Amino acid sequence: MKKHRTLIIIVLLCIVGSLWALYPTWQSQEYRSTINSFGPKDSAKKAQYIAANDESIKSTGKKAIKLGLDLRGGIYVTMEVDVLKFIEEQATNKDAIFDQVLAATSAEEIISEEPVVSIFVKKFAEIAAPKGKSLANYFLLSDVRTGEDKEIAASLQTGSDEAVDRAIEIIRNRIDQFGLTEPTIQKFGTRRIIIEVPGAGDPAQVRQLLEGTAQLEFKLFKDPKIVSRVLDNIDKYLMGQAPAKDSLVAKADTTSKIDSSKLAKAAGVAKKKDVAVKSKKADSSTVKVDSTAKTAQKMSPDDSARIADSLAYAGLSKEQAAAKFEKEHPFSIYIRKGESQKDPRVFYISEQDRKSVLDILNRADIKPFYEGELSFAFSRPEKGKDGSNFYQLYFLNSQPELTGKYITGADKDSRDGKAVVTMQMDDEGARLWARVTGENINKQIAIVLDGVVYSAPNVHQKIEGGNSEISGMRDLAEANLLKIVLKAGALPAPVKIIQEQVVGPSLGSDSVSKGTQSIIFGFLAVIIFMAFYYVTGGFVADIAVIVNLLFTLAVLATFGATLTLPGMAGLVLTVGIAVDANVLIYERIREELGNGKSLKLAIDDGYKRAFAPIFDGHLTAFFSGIILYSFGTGTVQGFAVTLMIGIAASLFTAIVITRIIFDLLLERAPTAIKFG
Amino acid sequence: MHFFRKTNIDFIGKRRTWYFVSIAITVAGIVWALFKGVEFGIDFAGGTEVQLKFEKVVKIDDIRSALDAGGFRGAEVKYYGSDESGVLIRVREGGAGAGAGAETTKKVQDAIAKGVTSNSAQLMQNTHIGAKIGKELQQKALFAVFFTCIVILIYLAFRFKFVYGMGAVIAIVHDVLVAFAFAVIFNGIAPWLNLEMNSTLLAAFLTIVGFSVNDTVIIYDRIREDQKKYKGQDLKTIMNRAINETLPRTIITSGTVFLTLVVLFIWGGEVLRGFAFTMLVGVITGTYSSIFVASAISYDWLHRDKKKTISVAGKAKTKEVVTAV
Repeated sequence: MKKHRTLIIIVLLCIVGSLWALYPTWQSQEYRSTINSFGPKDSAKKAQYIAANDESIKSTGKKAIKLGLDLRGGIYVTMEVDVLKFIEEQATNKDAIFDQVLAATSAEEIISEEPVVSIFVKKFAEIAAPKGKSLANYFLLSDVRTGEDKEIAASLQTGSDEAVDRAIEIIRNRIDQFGLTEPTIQKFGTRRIIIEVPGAGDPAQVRQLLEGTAQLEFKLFKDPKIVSRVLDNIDKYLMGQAPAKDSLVAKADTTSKIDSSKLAKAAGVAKKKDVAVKSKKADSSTVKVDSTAKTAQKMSPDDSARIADSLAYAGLSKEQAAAKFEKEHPFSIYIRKGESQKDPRVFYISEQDRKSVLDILNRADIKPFYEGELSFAFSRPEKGKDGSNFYQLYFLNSQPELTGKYITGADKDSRDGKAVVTMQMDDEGARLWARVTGENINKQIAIVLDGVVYSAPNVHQKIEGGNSEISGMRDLAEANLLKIVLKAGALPAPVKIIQEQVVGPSLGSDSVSKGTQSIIFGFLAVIIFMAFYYVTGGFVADIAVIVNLLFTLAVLATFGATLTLPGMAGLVLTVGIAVDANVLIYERIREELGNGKSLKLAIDDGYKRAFAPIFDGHLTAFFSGIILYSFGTGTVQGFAVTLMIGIAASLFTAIVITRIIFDLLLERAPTAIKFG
Repeated sequence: MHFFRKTNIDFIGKRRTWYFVSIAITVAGIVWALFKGVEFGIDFAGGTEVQLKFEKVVKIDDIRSALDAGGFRGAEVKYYGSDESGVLIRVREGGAGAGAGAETTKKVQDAIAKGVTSNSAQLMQNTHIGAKIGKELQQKALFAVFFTCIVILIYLAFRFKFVYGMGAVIAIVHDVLVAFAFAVIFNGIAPWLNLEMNSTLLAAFLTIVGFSVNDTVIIYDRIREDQKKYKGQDLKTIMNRAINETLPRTIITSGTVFLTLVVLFIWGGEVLRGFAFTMLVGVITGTYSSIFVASAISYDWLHRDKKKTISVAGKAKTKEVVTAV
C-alpha cells in the first residue's frame, strides 16, 4: 500500500478528472433525451423546457464529446482557393508563353505539396525566362516598387495567402447570417477551408451560400421619419391580423420576453465607437473633426408620433402601458426595446429578437411594406456583458451609393497609435465617392458586405481623389477585419468546392445506434471472455479496460475532438489492444508459475519480462496511428485520434493500474489471485 | 482455464509450404486486380455518390432505367442497407451526367422521382469528391503505407537487427497484399460487403500494419530473450521454441480482437462492414505472417548467411551472426 501511495492518488485523481470531464456529455445526453421524450402534442412544453434550460443545454453541449457529421448528419464541404486563377487574374498582357507557364503549373500543382506561387515562379523561370520574359512583363502590382521578380513573387504569395483569409471571412459572414447552427469553419493547410454544418439543411442552398460572389456596398442611413412610417405600417398590418391566427408572432412573443433594461445594460458595455471617415490627404489639418452625437441625424422615432403615443397612454400604469405598447407594436417592439438610452440612432437587438425580426421581415406578406424603400441590416454579433450575443440594427437605403467594385486596395495602418484603415478607389469610384461624401458630410455611411454592416463611419468631409481613411477601430484586429472586408469588394477570392458530403440526419442516428451497439457488444464479449479465462486476472484486466475507455473518452471530450463512426471502430480496437497487454503479462505469469516460481515472484517477473514487447507493440501501433492521422482525412483522422489516445492510455491502465491492484491483493488477500 | 498446454510445433520446418500458400493468395489477388480491375470508392476516384432510402422495396433495374432516362447512363447502382429499399448510386467523375456535387445529387433525385413514381425516396447521404482531391487521396494512401513500412523498418532495425526489420516489413507488405487480394476478390463475389477501395479501407490496411507489427515484435522479443537464455542452441530450435512459448498469447489476443471485429462486422452497420471484413482477414494474416513470414524469412536470411560463412571462410563468426539479434 505504502509503496504505491502516490500512484494510487494519481490514478484516483485521473479517474475523478475523467468523470468530471465526461459529466457534461452525460448531462447533454439527458437533455436531449428529455427533449425527445416530449410528444408532438407537448410542443409548447418542449419549447418551455428548452427555453428554461437554454444556457445549460448550450454550455453542456459545448463541453460534451462532439459527434462527427457522419453520426449526427450534416454537410461537410472542403473548399480550395484557386491560386492559379488568382495569379491569372492578377496578370496583364497575358500571351501564349504565359498560358504555357500556367498549364505547366497546373499539372505540377496536383502532385506537389509546394505552394502554387512557388511552383508558378519555378515554371516561369523554366519556360518563360529563356524566352526573355520576366515577371514584370505580366504583373503590374501596386505594392511592388522595384519590379524585381523576387518582389513580385512575394507579392503574389501574400496576395494568395490573404485570399484564403478573405474567403474565410466571407463564408463565415454568410453562414452566421444564415443562422446555420454551430458551423465550424477552419483553415486547412495553406489554401483549403473546411466547412462543417451539422443538422439538416438544403445542400444546394449551402453551396450557393459558399460559392456566390461577395457583395460589398456603401449605403446611406435612411431618414428616421420614413423608418418610423414603415415600422408603423408593419405594426398596423400585423395588428390587423388576429393574434391567435398569427402563430408566428404569438409564439415569438411568448418565447422572447427579454428584459429590455437588461439588454440595454448589456449593450451599454460596448463602448460607442467614434468611427469616422476622412480624406487621406497631407493637409489633414483642415479636416473638420466632428463629434458624432451632436449633429448626427436622429434615428429615434418621430417626435410627433411620440407625443401622440404618450397621450394615448395617459392614465395607464407602467406595466399596463408596456403591455399596451407591446400589443399595439407587435413588430417594432423588438426594435424599440433595444433602443440605446445614450444614442437614439443606435438599436441593440438580442440574438432571439433578431430572429423574430428576421422571421417577420422574411414573410412574403410583409416584404412589400419595406422592399424598395428601406433595407434592414444587422452588425456582426457582439458579446454583451452577460456573454450573450447582440447585434446593432441599421435602417439603410435600399440602393447602395457605391459598390465594392471600385475599390482598388485597402490596408490597415496606425495613426497616432490608433488603428485606421486606408482605402483606395479607381477614377470612376473616386468621382462617385467625392459626390457621395460631399453630399453627406456629417452623415453616416454603412459599409455592408453580403448584407452585414461591418462599419458605419461618419463622413467628415468631401473626399476627392479616392484615397480615404477610416478611423475609430477598437484595435488592430478590427482594422484588419475591415481591411479584409474592403478587399473582398476589390478582389473576389476565387474559391471552389473540391469535396462535399451530405449525411442525412436519419442515417446519422442510425449509425450512432449501430455504432454504440457494436461497441457495447464487442466490449461485453471481451470482458466476459477475460474474466472467464483468467479469473481474478481477468477481472483486474477488465477494470483496466473500463478505465482505459473512460480515459479515452475523457481526453476526447477535453480536447474537443470529434467522435466519428470510424472513431467508434477505433474504440473497439483500442479495447483489443488494451487487452493484449494484459494477455501478454498473464501468459508470462502463467509460464513463470509453471516454472515453479512463487506467486509474488511470478507476478514480478511477468510484468518485468512482458514490458518490452508491450512497449514495442504499443509504440509501433502508435506510429501507424500518427501516419494515419497525417495522411488521412476527416473521418479517418477520427479513427487515428481515438486509436492513439487509446494506445497511450493503455500503457498506463494495462500496466500500472493492474500492477497496483495485484500488489494490493498480494498484501491483503493473496489467495484470491488466480490466473486461471 | 487453459486452451493450450505446452505446444511443440515445428513452425520453421514447415515454412516452405506456407510460403507457397502466401504467394498463391497474393498472386491470385494481383491477377484478379489486373484482369477485373479494382473498384475505387468515390473518395479515391472522384465523382458523386448518392444514398437513397425508399419507402418500400425497389428493383435495381427500375432505378437504372430511371437514371438512363435522366442522362446518367453508366451510373452504378447497388443495394445498400439491411433490405432492398436502400440504394447507392454512384456517378463517376467523367461519367455521363457527372457535374458539381449538389447539382448532380439534385438531378439524380429528380430523375428517380420521375422514373420511379410508385415509390418515394429520401436522401440519406451524398458525397462529392472532385477528381483532383481523389487523385491526391490515392497518392496519400500509397505514401502512407510506404511511409509506415519505412518507420517500422527503422524502428525494428534499431531495436533488433536489420534482418529482423526486413522480415517484419516483408510480413507487413504480405499482410496488406493478402487483405487487398481478399478485398478485391470478395468485392467481386459479394458486393454487399462494401469492399471498394476507399479511405475506410485504407484505415483498415494501416491498422492491419499496426497489428501485424505488434504481433511480430512480440515473437522477436521472445527470440531475443531465448537466445540469451539458451546460448549455443541452433536458431531453428530457438525460433520454434519462442513461437511455441508465445503461441497462447498470440491466439488469445488475436481471438479477442477477432471477436470484437466479428461484432463490428455483424452489428456495425453498412459503413463499417467493409472495414470489419478487411480487418478480420488482416488479423488472421497478421498472426500467421508473424510466424510464417517475418520469423521464417529472417531465419532463411540468417541461415543463408551462416551457410555462406561456413563454406567461404569456415570461421567462428557464424555464432555471432545468428545470436546477436
